[in-house]
Amino acid sequence: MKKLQVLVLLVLLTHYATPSCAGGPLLTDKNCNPVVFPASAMPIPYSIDQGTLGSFSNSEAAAIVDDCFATWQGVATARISFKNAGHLAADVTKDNVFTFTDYTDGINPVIFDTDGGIIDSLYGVGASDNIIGFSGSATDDTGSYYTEGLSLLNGRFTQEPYNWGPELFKATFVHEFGHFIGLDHTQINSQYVHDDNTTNDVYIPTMFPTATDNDSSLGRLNPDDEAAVTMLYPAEIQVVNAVYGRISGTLYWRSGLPARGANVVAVKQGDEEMSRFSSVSDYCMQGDGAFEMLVTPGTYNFIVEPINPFFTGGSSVGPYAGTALSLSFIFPAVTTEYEENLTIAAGETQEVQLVVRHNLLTPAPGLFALLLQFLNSLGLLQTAGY
Amino acid sequence: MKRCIITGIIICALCSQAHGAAVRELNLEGLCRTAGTIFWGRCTSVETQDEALVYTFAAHRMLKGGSADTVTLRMHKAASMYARAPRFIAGQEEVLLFLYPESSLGYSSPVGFGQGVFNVMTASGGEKTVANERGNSRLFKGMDMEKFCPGSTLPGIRQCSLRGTGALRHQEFMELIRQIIAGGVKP
Repeated sequence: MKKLQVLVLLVLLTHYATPSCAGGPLLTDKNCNPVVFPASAMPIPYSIDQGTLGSFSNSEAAAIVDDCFATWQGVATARISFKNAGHLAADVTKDNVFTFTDYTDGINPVIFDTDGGIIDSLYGVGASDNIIGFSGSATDDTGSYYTEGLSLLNGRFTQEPYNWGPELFKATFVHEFGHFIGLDHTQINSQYVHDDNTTNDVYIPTMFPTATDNDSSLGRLNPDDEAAVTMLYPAEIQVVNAVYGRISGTLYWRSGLPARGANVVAVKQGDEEMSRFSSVSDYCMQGDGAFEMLVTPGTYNFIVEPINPFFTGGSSVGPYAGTALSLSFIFPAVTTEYEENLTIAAGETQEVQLVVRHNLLTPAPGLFALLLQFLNSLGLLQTAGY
Repeated sequence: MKRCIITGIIICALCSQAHGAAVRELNLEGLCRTAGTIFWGRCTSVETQDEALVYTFAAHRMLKGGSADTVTLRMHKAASMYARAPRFIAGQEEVLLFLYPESSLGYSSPVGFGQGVFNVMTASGGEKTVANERGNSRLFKGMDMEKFCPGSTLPGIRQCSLRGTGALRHQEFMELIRQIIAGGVKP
């Protein structure tokens, strides 16, 4: 293991402060609070389409939806709950879908696009053979809370040649409903994703951005998923403190400047593959390189790694990965494993400061060229060809 | 009219949102088969028209779907935001786009969202390369490469197919697309 550059490793607190910043939020407000559904919105009601979902009956499809929401609700350390509010007013089709897309009516519709017709009409002919579904929520005027969301499941995937069963729908929509409640992606254990070994995909968190060799296990939450939803929707403080410790820290470049948009992973000794927790540095976009995560009690090592350069756009991880030109990919962090350990008990908060080097040659061929092209477009390069 | 007003409200409400879409992975053959239009070009304008976001592209070369100099892409505004579909900026770098055939409502989008958007980049020697949002990862999975680029033809493509990922030479990539659309190299 490489020599670490931990500058400071201090035990600062033994009890939690008021829960504030979180690991893995899709959005944070200007005060670094994760954007969430407010406590007054619990249980979050969702209303289900009257129609079928391809070869699934309405009740079978509703059971899948209920199960997906219940998966998040089942995290004992999180205070998030859902309620099946019954059916929408109609069977939603491409002809009436716009009736159900209003974000100001207090309804969170779950639409069953039974034959993919809605998707085809909105995204183009044939899109229903590619888009399995989506889920999203909109914020209030202040940008601090989600108000309403909308989800759509594509019944085309229950039919030939896909023949998806409930298990694959659950694996997909537990993830999508994670976005619905405000969770971002995580890239933990990406080495297992496409290694053609289906047995190790159990170590990939539900909120991983892409499909894996065997998606069926994604319907069950991993420790990182549970910690992330607890950060956003913490239960009573004593409940959280009984299960988790909190690691709060800052990532710096060697220059001493805060490092933004790198992935910080805490790896638990003795359970290295399953018990991994992560946070993207400067996830609040405050420019301070701060990261924060909940971890189960134990001894941890840290890894800092660049965001996978292929995770952009809809697959992005953290706030600095929207495009190939985003900050996470410009001279990103060198993957660094730190030797020092950190032991943390339940209810304890510890602070860590890590230092990492820039990778001056970005790892993905082409992205460096893209950067140079971009700089050239700004008139910052004089070299011919860029 | 009512629909326009409702959609307008939706757009305002969607200024910031949590969202995500699940999309099936496609290889290049699947992208070519599914797309109604494939072209290399550059976005020249973006307009908002009622419920639609209308992108106009100057097409440098059409590979499938006609021979026009310009291509217009109408994406449903709210639906694009729900699903986090790709967006384009006028004057942005060149792209090689795979688009679904237009729906009865006149809407389309990139095939597989980010999978069907290949940014065209200029490398150090002036050579153009292409990569989609997945860095071309698994782009050739399950494809019979011998059928489309036999022997030592398109060497960069063959190397990438062996690596499983990485940027591709632009000209080779367009030639490969042409071969796929034509059904493979004639023996």
